[in-house]
Amino acid sequence: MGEITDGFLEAIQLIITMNPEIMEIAGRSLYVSIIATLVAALIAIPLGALIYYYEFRGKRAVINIIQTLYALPTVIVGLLVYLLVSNSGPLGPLKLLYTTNAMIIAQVVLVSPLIVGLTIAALSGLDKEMKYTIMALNARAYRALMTLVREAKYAVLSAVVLAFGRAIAEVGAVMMVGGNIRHFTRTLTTAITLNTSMGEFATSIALGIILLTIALIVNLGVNILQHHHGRMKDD
Amino acid sequence: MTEDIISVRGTAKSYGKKEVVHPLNFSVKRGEILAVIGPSGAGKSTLLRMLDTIEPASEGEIFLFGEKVTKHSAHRLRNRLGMLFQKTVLFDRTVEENIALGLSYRFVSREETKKRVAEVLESMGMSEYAHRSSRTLSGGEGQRVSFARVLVTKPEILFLDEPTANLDPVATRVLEEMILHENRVNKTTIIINTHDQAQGQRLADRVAVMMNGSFVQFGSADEVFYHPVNEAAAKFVGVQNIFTGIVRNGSAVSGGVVFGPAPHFPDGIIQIMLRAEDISLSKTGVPEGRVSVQGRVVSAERSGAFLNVRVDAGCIFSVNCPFRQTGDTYVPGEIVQIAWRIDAVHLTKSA
Repeated sequence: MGEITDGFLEAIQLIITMNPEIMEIAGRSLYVSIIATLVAALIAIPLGALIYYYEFRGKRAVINIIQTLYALPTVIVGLLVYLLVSNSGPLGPLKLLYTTNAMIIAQVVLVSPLIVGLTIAALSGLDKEMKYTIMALNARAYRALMTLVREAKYAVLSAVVLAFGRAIAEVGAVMMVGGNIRHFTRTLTTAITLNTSMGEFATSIALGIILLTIALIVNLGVNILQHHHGRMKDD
Repeated sequence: MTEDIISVRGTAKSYGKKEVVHPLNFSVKRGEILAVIGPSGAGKSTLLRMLDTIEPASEGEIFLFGEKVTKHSAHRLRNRLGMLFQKTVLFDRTVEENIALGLSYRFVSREETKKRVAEVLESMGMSEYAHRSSRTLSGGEGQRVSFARVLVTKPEILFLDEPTANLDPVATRVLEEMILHENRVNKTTIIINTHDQAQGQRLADRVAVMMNGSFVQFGSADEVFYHPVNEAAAKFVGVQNIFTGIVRNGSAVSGGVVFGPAPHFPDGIIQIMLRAEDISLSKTGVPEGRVSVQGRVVSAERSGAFLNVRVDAGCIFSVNCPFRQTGDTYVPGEIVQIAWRIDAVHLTKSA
């Protein structure tokens, strides 16, 4: 028991004194996951909107596959991206392995299906007549997609925030392609893994508290968005 | 000015194996109002979406303004079309921004947009609504704003898919006035779907009755309302008295009641139809020039402005009396005379 309470007290101290290494790790985690989420959103929101907008053969199957990919194991993403960016891989010449950029790529791959799928769900929540109305007003496809996404903005934003939560909490992929290198690619999750295995519980707990706080803020954000979204529907 | 602005040739729509619109052939002239009436699920909405080019037909061809609708021509043609839906669609923006949407899709300049939106709001007497959030509108106001959003693009053909189905009677009348105004002033060609037969009668030059994906009847409002082609169409346009009868010695007979002459029918089974409003009811005499039978009152109940009296005279007749005119009341068991003009009787071959 003593170990846990001691660890906890020390952890609080590390946070209050803004321990430089811990702050650096938290900052890197935020940087990697925010960039990854933004890049993923930029690709996945239009893609989801396109899939929603167009009727095509096998649409149902595509949506099923995307939903299956929500649960894509992070180590598989790690493996895929590793093969992609390793020296002998197609992106080998870019020397991305064990960089934050590789970690960003891995997280983009990881959370994109989530944003695509939830964007489709968000737009499907709009009235079918809205799509018809936009078509009847003769919008070109890209204008139609913009109008639709704007109408579903709260639900789409919730999807992005959820995706960020998944990105910052995952450990497998960033460990594999980032390598958990101190001062370069170490993140909250990889640092917790390492410190715990070395018996540095105080550091682990401190990092854990920070990670939990971020998760809490994210969750709060989603709640506020969904509350807003729900209120809109009631009106 | 009387060219066919819409021409439908063998147009059909299937979803999977189910054909929801069977091949249709008809045309509409510039400036005309056509009402398509029929029950829900008859294929009316699908037909309008195909005509508005937002849904491709599975079969056949559609010509708008003399040009064939194809994947390539659809966008260009649609600039001259407008469509309003049953369910009011408002975007979470101001009224002004809602109305401007179609113009923004057409890349109309900002000044021009502002001017045209102000004009259309003015013409609807809704100028003070411009900056309100669309979320604060009532059902009737919302549908008017949706209509304004269509009108501001100056469509030459308007497709209205049950535009008043969700509105109260007052808001319905207001929108109907706007629809007629648009047709009279701008000579806009209009096809309106409705399940309200009276609305079809009020607005349309011609009426098509659509059932199970086909037009069962297509003609003037009077033809459709007074001469329905079959029992289903008759029920839909509100004919309450439909009897299966026979032709005997040149007369239409059912349940021992002789309804009137049936000159164009060979002996055999027929359907006899008589609108409840076309039958008069009295306790004593019979007006001149009418067919009359005696019967016994079965029931009497208020139905809007009418008293609906059911009379057993061999067949059970449903009669609508303007009871406030006569002040008469009827009790079950009472003996009464019912009468109708010969030309109020409509006969069809039995299905």
